[in-house]
Amino acid sequence: MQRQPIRPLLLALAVAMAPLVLQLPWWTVAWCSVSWGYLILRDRCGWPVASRGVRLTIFIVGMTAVLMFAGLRFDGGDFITLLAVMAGIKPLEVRSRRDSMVTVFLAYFLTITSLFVFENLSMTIYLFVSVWTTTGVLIHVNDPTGPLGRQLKLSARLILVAVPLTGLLFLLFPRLSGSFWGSPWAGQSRSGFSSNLRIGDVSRLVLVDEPAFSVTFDSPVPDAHRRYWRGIVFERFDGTGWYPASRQAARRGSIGGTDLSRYTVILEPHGQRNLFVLDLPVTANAVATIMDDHTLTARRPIWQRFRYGAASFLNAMPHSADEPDDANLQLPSDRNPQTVALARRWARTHAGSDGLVAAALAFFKENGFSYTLQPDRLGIHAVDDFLFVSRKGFCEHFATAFTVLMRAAGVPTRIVGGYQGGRWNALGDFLTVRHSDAHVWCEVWQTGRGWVRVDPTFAVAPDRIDAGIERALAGETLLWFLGRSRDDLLSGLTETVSQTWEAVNTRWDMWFMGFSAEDQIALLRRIGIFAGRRSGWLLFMALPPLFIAGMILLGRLRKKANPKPLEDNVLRIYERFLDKMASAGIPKPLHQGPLDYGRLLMERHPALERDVDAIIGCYIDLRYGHECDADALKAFRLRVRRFKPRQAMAAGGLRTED
Amino acid sequence: MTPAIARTFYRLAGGNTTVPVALGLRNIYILPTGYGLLYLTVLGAMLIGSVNYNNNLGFLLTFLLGSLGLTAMMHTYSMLYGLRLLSATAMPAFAGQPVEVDLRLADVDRPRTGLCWYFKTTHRTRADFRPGQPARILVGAGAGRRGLFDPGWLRIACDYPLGLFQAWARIDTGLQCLVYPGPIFAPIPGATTLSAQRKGDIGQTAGVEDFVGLSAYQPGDPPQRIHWQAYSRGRGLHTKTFAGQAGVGLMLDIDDIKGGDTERKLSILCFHILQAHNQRRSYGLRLAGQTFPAANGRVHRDRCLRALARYGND
Repeated sequence: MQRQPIRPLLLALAVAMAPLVLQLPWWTVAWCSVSWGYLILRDRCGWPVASRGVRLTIFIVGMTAVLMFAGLRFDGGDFITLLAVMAGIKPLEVRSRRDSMVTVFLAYFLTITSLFVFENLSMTIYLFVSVWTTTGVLIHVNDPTGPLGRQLKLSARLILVAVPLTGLLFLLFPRLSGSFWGSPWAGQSRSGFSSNLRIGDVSRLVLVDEPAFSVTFDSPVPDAHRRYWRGIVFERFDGTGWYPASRQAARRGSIGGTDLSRYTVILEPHGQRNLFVLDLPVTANAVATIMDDHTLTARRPIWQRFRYGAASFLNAMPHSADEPDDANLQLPSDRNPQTVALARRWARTHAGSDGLVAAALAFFKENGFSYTLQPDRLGIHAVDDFLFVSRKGFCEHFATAFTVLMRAAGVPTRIVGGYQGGRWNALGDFLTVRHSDAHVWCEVWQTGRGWVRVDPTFAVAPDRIDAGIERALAGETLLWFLGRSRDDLLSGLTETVSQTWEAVNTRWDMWFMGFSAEDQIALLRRIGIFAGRRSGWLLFMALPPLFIAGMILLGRLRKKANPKPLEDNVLRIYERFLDKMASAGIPKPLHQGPLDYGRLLMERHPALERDVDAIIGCYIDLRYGHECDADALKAFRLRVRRFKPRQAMAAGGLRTED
Repeated sequence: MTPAIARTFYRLAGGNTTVPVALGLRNIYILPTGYGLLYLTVLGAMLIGSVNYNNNLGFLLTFLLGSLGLTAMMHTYSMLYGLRLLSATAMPAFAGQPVEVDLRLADVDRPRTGLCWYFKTTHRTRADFRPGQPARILVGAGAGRRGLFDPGWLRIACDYPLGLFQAWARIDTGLQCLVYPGPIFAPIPGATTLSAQRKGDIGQTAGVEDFVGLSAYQPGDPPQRIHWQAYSRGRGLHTKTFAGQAGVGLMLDIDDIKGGDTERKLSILCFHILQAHNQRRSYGLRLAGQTFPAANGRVHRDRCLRALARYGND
């Protein structure tokens, strides 16, 4: 049995697995390293393949480890672990070409799993590297004696030829619109708003220096202080945390307003169903529903980067006439007595909700509250502690306190969680909203106007809204929390680089990762070949045969573009003549030269004499003569083409009989 | 059933299959191999995964691999496409030895890698051709029995570069190879020495004294006569020849051999012909119905061997 190329196989597996290394449990990495290290040694020293029993034991040990690690829940992450363990085991038993081929296919499979885990530009580039190496190794498996370098070159050439078809297939493969199943591959926890809000959650979230979503605008970009990204509305309060309304319905009717803004959001996966839209959304993608609290909800949790378009009125008038229910007045009965008392006092002295809101905001402004990421610990009466003792807090503290005050005073109020602001990336023409832009604010019910946004944080730290969180927290530097230093030349440079990279990445995400059924239809319409979904399949199926036909055509054209030297043509025409003679029953014996053969023909069939003499003469002139010009060649070709030995022989035969 | 389908298919496909032949659209066939089907299955799984999670990168990889498969198919096809087989000749062989067919190709215009040539045998001759190299190849056609041997269809197959597709061509070389009887050493007790000086058992070394030299080994030479010392020094196989053997004509007659069936008799005759030829003795051959008068030289030897090969077949 032929010796199998172990080391190239290991190379393919390693390249395919490299992106997953950080995702894998450490023991799988160790498992593979040990196994592969042993294999390299074995290959170098020529040790024999381990016996069947040993291999079986290793297999059982590996599988047991995976099962014990995965437990009863077996999700995508465990699937990757399983593949990695198999990648460690499989090369151990490679002895035949079949094993090698299976190992290469395993490498292809590892490549696609890493694509499910990471979706970004770097991975797209890496995909080609991985396919290139693996295909090179596949060629090597089929031709183990050839040099790997040349095979890698061939692999690159094959990929280059395949790329145009790949692009067309990608664009034309009929997509299902709006299918986004929960990806089981997302092993790591995602940061973002969860379905409940405990005091302190937001100040932890802003420390995550990752983008939450990016937005491109079709209309003018709104100013920073108008960019409230609404995500989730909290109504129920238990003293320490906020929860959304237990029952939610889709919004009925439409809203009015001015300053319409149209935009497209690319949301990083956060594992929740809520999407983020500018206050207040008018219309949105078909895959999401606008709820009656004006939030946008997807049908399934977002486990993958998700793109949706929406339109919002920045200055909305939500004609909601329905009085909100008591849920928006609910407070835990035995908490925060001081706050409740203060609110009741205000309720007696101020008339109407406007006055109460003004009183609360004035209270925040005048009593030395400070906006900080490091609030003091709060006790069981959290709002009392905050309002009357520590007076240091983050947006969630202000929003909570404000809501409790309003509700205690009898004004229906709720909390809205989302993001505020975002940084404009001028290179890429889009807005990046990061987790550090996380924010919560309040909405107060005003009879006749409906829900009105009130941001108590603005009363304390107006910079937060106008200039972003970094400016607002300049004193204690959020940047320090994020592990960066601020006034640094180097950081300026890295800032530019990271902005550029972010721009390229996001642009790529926008038109590649986000390419959806709707985009496809739009594209086909623009080219003018869209004719219903059924024909999409037809078009798709027609591509591979078209590709093959195109390749053949290209081959022909290329052959025509550099024609063979005339001598070759002479030979070819002469061969055609010989073929004709052979089919007429007088093949040329191998040992005969043209002259002898011509003599033979003329002896046997005098009827052919004229033609044969001319053809042989032309041939000898062209092939062995000094000159070989195109005209003579043309005449030669014509003569051979018109030469019909069988007919001539038949006619000649008849004539002799006469 | 399957052979019938294959026959029908080949007939429908048409195309020239006799040497000389140029491989083209009508006589190259291509089908996915088992690995190709496995590859397709893997791609199917990838496509389902990508549709399920609506993952564009997954789509990209799936389609890239799919296009790669198609490209590889074209590449495999082009390994055979345009190959021109000029002639096929078979060397005569002794029974039990592989018959080798010598195939001559027209100038190779581009590198052709991983071509496998085979007749009915399981052994495949793998060859790579580069432009500018002599384009000929020896293909084993399997061992035949004495007589005329039909090597069957010549197949040229290729699954380079990815092993996912196998392209092949089926060519009728039209060869009828001659298979001589395999030489067997046995004395012919009644062999008439023409000069009547010596009757004898050539194999018996005891009575032969005068060593004259070495001659190249000929199949069927008795092992006792092989000059093993020379062989152990890596000089190849040689047979010791002895004085008194050369220059004596003999008449080999099939009827002198007693016992054994015709094949064995022919094999013994074959040995003696080779022996006599090597020792430069003149010899004649008498088979039932035909007689070759005593002579020597290659032409004579080949004529005798041919007669042995055709014996009983005409």
